This record gives sequence, C-alpha cells and structure tokens, in this order.
Amino acid sequence: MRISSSSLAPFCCVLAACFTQARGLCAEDASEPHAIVEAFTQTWDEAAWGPTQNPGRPGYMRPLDDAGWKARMKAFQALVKAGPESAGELRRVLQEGSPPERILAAQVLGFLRSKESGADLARAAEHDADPAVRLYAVDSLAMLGGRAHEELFRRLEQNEKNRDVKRHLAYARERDGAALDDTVIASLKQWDAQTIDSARLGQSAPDFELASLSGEKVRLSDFRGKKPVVLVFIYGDT
Amino acid sequence: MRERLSDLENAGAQLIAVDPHEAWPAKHFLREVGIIDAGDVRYPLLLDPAQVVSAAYGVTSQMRIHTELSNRPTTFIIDCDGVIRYERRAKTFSDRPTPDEILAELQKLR
Repeated sequence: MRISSSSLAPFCCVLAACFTQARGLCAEDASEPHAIVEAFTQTWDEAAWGPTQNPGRPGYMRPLDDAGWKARMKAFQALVKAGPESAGELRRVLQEGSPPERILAAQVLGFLRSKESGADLARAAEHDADPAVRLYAVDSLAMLGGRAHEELFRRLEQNEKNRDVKRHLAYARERDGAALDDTVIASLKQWDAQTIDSARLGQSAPDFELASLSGEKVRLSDFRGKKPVVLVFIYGDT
Repeated sequence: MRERLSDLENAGAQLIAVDPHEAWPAKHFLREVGIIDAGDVRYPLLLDPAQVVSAAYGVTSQMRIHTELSNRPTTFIIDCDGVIRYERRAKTFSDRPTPDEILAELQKLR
C-alpha cells in the first residue's frame, strides 16, 4: 500500500502538536538559556504575523488571536533572571537565530547590561537585515550606558533608512550615556508571571506601582475609595 | 483625551497613562506634541519599561518594527471600588474611545 504524504499530513500535525505541547510543558520550568530560547521558538507562530495595513510602511501586525506574547514575556523574564549565564547563548542567537529569536536576544542583552555584548549589539545595530533587530540592538546598546557608542549612534542615524530605527537612534543619543536603571531590571526579575493577562471586566483591577515621568511613585490602589481611574496604555503591540 | 482633561477632572475621574518606554523616548514624544517640560504633563505618565504592568493588563509590546499603525492602545475604566467597569482593547491603531465616550462611561458609574 502506498501512503501519500497528504494522507499522513493530519496525523503528523496531531503528533507535532502533542510534541510541541510536551516540549512546552517541560520548557515552562526551563531555567537554562538554550532551553528558554527553544521554548520560545516552539510557541512562536511566525506565520500568523501579517504585514501592516499601510503598504507604504513595511512591518508586521501582531495577530489578534496571538497567544505567543505570553511565552515571549516569560522567556524575556527567564533569560534576564538567568543573568550573565544567558549572555553567551544570546550572543550566538543574535548572530544565527531566526528574526523573532534575534529580536528577543537583542532585547534581553540590554537588560543583562553585559558590556561584553557591546560589539555584538553594535554589529546587529549596523548590519542586521531585519529593522526590528536593529531597533532593539540600538535600544540595548544604549542601555549598557556610557559614551563608547555615541559616534556609532550618530553615524547610523545619518545612514539608517528605516524611520523607526532612526528614531531609536535619536533616543539613544538623548539618554546621554545613562544606563538602564537597576529598578527596571529588578521589577522584571521580581514580576509574578502568574499575573500575566489577569485584568478582567467586572473584576478587581491588578494593582501596581510605577514611577511617573516626573519621578513620582503612583499606586493604582491609592485612588480606591476616592475616584474612578481612566487607565490608558498608550502603546501596545508595537 | 489630553485636550479634554478638565472635562475628565470635572467628572471626578483620574487619568493615568502607561508608557512601555524609558524616560527618553517618552520625553521625545512629548516634545513632538509641543510639551517641552515633562512637569507640564497634568496627569501621571507612568513608565513601564519592564512591561510588567502592561503584561498584567494583557497589553503587549512586541516590536516587530515600531510603526504607529501597528500600535493598539488599550483603555480601562476602574471604579472607586477598584473594579474594572470598562475596557477597550484596540484592534487597530484608530480603534480607541473618544473623550465623549469615556465621559459617558464615567456617568454610568454614578
């Protein structure tokens, strides 16, 4: 009997789904950087990302039913928590990974503030083919702090064709050598991942405390019993 | 909403904005809309660069590339008991409540 590949396809899909699920379950507890990146890759549905609605602006729209963001957020935290141990693996991924993996690696390296990653981030900021990787590499390079890359930022800003990456090069210059604040890194490490996507209509709003642009600390629950709050997340999915 | 802040204040409500960036991009955006001094922002503009609060509210910031058109803002109204009474999770860039819609929702809380 000849079995055509098309008749096998549904079975393979089921098998692949089980495998992915099993891998996903193990990966939930993974603390080793390579396993964390692997787990992220397994859950990321690259094909679901569509082009933006504006033909003049290349880029991607996040799928509306995207579930991958939760795994991405957890991988982001787990890699930062793993600390310097992650840096070697992420530098490799930044070089050899798929675009979503390279974006994640570029983002995490900034939060690790590992000076050794400077050359890798500078290379990605200048040469990566994917503008989103260049953008995160610029952000992360700036988060390392210091003025060593000022000249590079200036030069890239002149040559960069992508408007958004160009903007981030301007932010990098404007931060004037300031490194990513310790409190930001600590808040990611201490974040209770169980609270992800926990805001529901008709239920208590998840409480939080954040610093405002003018440096004042604001806690949501401070308004309880006093006045209603209109809470606007001004950017999302970008 | 920024332009209608006094209407919101008259309605007895507090506007809070959450920005998933560090201070430098936030200040850059404000300058672009003509606000030079961050102290001139009359509502708390909270910074969430670790994106942990955004994640709790299901708002994700996954830059594939930072285009305004891939931005989907999200609005919640939380009543005096701390309960979420309104939510609008944008499907597109322009999918956001008007100030009048927000004021009408606040009226319903009374």
